[in-house]
Amino acid sequence: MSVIASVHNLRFSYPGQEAVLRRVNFHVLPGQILVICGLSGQGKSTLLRLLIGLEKPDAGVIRLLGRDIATLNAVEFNDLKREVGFVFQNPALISTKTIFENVALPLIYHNIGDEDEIRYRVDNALEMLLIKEFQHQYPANVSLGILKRAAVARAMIMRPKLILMDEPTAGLDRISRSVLLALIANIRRINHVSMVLVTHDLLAARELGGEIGVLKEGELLQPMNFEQLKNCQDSFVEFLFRQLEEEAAMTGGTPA
Amino acid sequence: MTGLLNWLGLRYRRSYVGQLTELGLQASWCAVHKVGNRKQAMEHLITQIYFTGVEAIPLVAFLALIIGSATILQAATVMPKIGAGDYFGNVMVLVVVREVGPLFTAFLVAGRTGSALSTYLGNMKVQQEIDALKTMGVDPVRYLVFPSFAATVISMFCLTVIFNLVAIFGGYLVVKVLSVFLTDFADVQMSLSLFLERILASMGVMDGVLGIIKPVFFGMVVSVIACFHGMAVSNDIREVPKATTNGVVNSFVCITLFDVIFALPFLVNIGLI
Repeated sequence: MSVIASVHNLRFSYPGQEAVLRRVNFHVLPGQILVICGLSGQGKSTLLRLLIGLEKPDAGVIRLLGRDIATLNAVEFNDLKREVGFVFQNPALISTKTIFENVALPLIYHNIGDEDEIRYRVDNALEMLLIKEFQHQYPANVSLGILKRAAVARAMIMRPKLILMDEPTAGLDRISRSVLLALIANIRRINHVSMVLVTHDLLAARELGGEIGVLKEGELLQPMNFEQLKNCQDSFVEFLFRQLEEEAAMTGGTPA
Repeated sequence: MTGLLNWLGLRYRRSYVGQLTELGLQASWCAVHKVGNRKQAMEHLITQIYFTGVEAIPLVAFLALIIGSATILQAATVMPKIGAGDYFGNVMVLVVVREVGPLFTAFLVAGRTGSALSTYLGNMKVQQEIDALKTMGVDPVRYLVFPSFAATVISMFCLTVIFNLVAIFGGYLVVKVLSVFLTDFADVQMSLSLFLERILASMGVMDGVLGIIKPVFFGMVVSVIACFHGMAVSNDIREVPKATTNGVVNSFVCITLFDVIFALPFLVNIGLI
């Protein structure tokens, strides 16, 4: 089975600072979901930015769809990005465009389909994410939950093989969070798309299934499923679960 | 040797002027090398021309009318008294067509469009909208900078032409009307045909050539500087007003500097250099 994305001995530091990622290794298979958990400031978002080429690593190899991204020129990399969707923590929709125009943007820019096909594909995506009624609204006029769903719709509109998501549930209330997680799981099931999802929310990781990799002191622990992780003897993982139990006790939520 | 050239090249590319040149070349390249959706690019271009050009016409015309009237008034009342009445056309061409027209229009476009562009792109950068475009394989220079660049160049040229025409004809009309009511302006007794004749007689080939090159170049300078400062904002919202200010001030300085450089051919023409 071909690997969709792989990272080998990745190292990255911001200028003048200590390395935030020291030695990160993982790979993602077709249809697989990899959830990367960790505390704030551990480099989770940076890892995704490295994967999509927004930052350049100090060392290591990133391969997307079999191609080493360091060897690609700008045009080749832009072509490759058609196969990869990205969802920012802040939804980062273009504020001067409506939800519909935002979702249609990559299709229009890359000349994919005529007007009818673009409308059909965008309508489908908006329906799948239950936001069709907001299609003519501008980002400033809708809630964060809708914006996050629109960002997911924009990431999946090119029918990518891989979607990278940065904290998709951050800032959402419980209901919006559950709805979004269910929708993400649905997209993965229907489109058979691979996902790398970064979150500090271990419960979200459990709900989505797949493997969970914990980012600890710049290194990624071997990805494993939720139950295996729960029984893991690592002190940092135990700390994460204790945090989760305490949070559940305070909010009356579901304990792990 | 190659190492030295590479080092110098790298230093130049990293310098402010080098980065502006690079952005200008990238934007110009987009005009030649067509990638992406042409219809969408055309829509963006028209929107930008509307904002930069069409919406600025009343302001440009108003300024041109005031400046044209003042210039004509000074020239028509003072020059005959010092025996230089025959050089009236020269003064109009010299002041309005060569200098004030392109310069004032460029300042106006820099203050209005340049500041708006820097703020818009700076905010997009802070909101990660530009990063979002990159993740979709959308080239921000092609998608955002090029339409602004092309629209500013086109608008700048058209606005300069409008400025010159309004300054000359509008100014003439204002002074004519004033001369009917105010006795101080009784000396202004020039007919329109004589007025035009003198202006056209004073215009040389160089005026025609620089009349095109100057506004086009100023348009490039304003848009590239504005876009560069907007795109150079990091993720800190506090940088946006700084970028806007720097963009406008640097545009003013560069425009003035290039205006002096553009005056050199005329000095060569009359043998001063």
